[in-house]
Amino acid sequence: MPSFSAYLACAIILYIIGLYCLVTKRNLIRLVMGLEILINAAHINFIALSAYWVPGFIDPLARSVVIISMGLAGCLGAVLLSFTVYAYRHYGTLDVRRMRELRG
Amino acid sequence: MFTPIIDSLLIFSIITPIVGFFTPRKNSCLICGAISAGGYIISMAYLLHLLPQILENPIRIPMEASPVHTSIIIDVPGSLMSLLALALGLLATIYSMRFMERDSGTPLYYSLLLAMITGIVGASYSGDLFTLFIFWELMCITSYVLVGFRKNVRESVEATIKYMLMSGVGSATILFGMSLLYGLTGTLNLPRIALSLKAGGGPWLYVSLGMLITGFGIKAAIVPLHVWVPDAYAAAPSPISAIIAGASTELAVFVICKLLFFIFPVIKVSWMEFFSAFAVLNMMLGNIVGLLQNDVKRMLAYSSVAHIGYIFIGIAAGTKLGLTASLLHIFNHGLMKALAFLCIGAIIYRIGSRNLEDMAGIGRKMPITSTAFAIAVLGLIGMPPLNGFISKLLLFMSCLDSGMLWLGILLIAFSAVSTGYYIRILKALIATPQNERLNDVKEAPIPILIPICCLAFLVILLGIWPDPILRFAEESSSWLMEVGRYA
Repeated sequence: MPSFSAYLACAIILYIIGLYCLVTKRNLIRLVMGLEILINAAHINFIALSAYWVPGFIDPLARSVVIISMGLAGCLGAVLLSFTVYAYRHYGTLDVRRMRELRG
Repeated sequence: MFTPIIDSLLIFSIITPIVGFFTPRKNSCLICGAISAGGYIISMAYLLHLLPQILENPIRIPMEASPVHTSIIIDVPGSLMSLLALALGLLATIYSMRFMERDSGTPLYYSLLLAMITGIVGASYSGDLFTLFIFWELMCITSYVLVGFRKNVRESVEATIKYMLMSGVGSATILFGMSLLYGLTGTLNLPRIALSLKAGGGPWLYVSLGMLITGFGIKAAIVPLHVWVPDAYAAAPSPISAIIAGASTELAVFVICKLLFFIFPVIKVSWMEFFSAFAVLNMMLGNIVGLLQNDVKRMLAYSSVAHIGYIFIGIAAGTKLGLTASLLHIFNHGLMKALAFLCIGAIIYRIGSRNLEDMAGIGRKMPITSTAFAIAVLGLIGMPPLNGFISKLLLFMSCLDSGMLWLGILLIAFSAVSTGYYIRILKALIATPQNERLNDVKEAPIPILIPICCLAFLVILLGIWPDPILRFAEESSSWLMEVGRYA
């Protein structure tokens, strides 16, 4: 069984991957995926830490936080994707770097 | 379910679109607006009824058979914030009855607005990080939809996408910071975290503080993270700009105050320095970039960034006086900025332009709106008989109190710089009309004038008689400074 710090390292690496994706990618759909990766990094961290305090006991609090937060992440993804559709209708592209009418 | 204050908002949020479905489309904006206003009134009446009891002792509402200590605590600081949010929600709803009449889907608009206010009220009453996160996300997700409510306009879709991407990263970062805090203490309940962190928590405490501040700071427009603010404020319908600027941004600052003074007092010295840097950055960028704007809503957005900087001065002072001043400025700035956005909305409603040049001479045509706008702008500058003066004075005094004279001098200097763009607005209001577009402009309709007059009256009243709100802020700050009182 991998040690506790392996899970923490995994969560932090996922977080960095998500940020990297958000910074470098241009396509809006990929940005949505980056955002979901970012949120999932936090979920993994929650679940890993729930088994950390008492050996053999897993805190139900972290489970409930993660399950509700998954629902919220789903809402966020849905709203973002629906606005992606509108953006495609207005601009004819999904490239965020072309959506630059607002300046200053 | 939770508490009648939150329940009534949620129930009306469900009722409103159902009623809207059965009313003819022509009247739905007016009828649904009137129904959803009922939700705010019931909620506010109950809150005012509970207020004497809350001042004695916070009311704790545990969620159903909760083994994990999730709870809503109806306390004094939360009441300060939720009174502001409920008042602004009610006024924005009355305002929207006329302002949004040309849009379709207004029943959903009112429903989303109610849900957003629910999020703000719930987040300000939350007693643990889990509840805080849920209500926070409720506010965030509804605000995305409301900012992009006019989805046929290119500008608003673009602004919404920018806003959502940044704010989504913020939410994920908040969750990560909460998970680290949970790992350090084994609980999410705020008073319990505070108790178990009394002895300090090592390097991970700093990481988690940094993540929480980054996450909430995106909503609070801390300077490197403020990029979405001018776009979203400018693109949203004006009542929504008023709510976001007046309640949702203020909630983010309030939550930062609550977390810092509640669970991170151990490492106070390090965050005080950070926040004085943030304060200077925010004041500098907001006031200087504000000078360059021609679009009035963007100008007001940059003025918001600058005002968040003023609020941070009180946090940086780190004393009870500083926290009182910050909470008071949160309340006062919420009122003034909402008033300014509602006034600019009324002017846009009549002339259809946000440009400063186009509204030169509007004062002759729309005297009541322009007077209220002038009151809001003077309040934002900090003129003596208005409420902005009281809180800026307290912020300055808190700087002197904690030996940071340079910060106080910067506050005054940047207030003077900001006068530059506020004066441009005042000048446009009192100029002689030259533009032919203004010839047949009339005063705004009554439902738009009622909220404007109410807010202008409050701005003046709290300026000449600040005692009740000052005592409220003082009591709130003493609750936030002494965690032991919650145990």
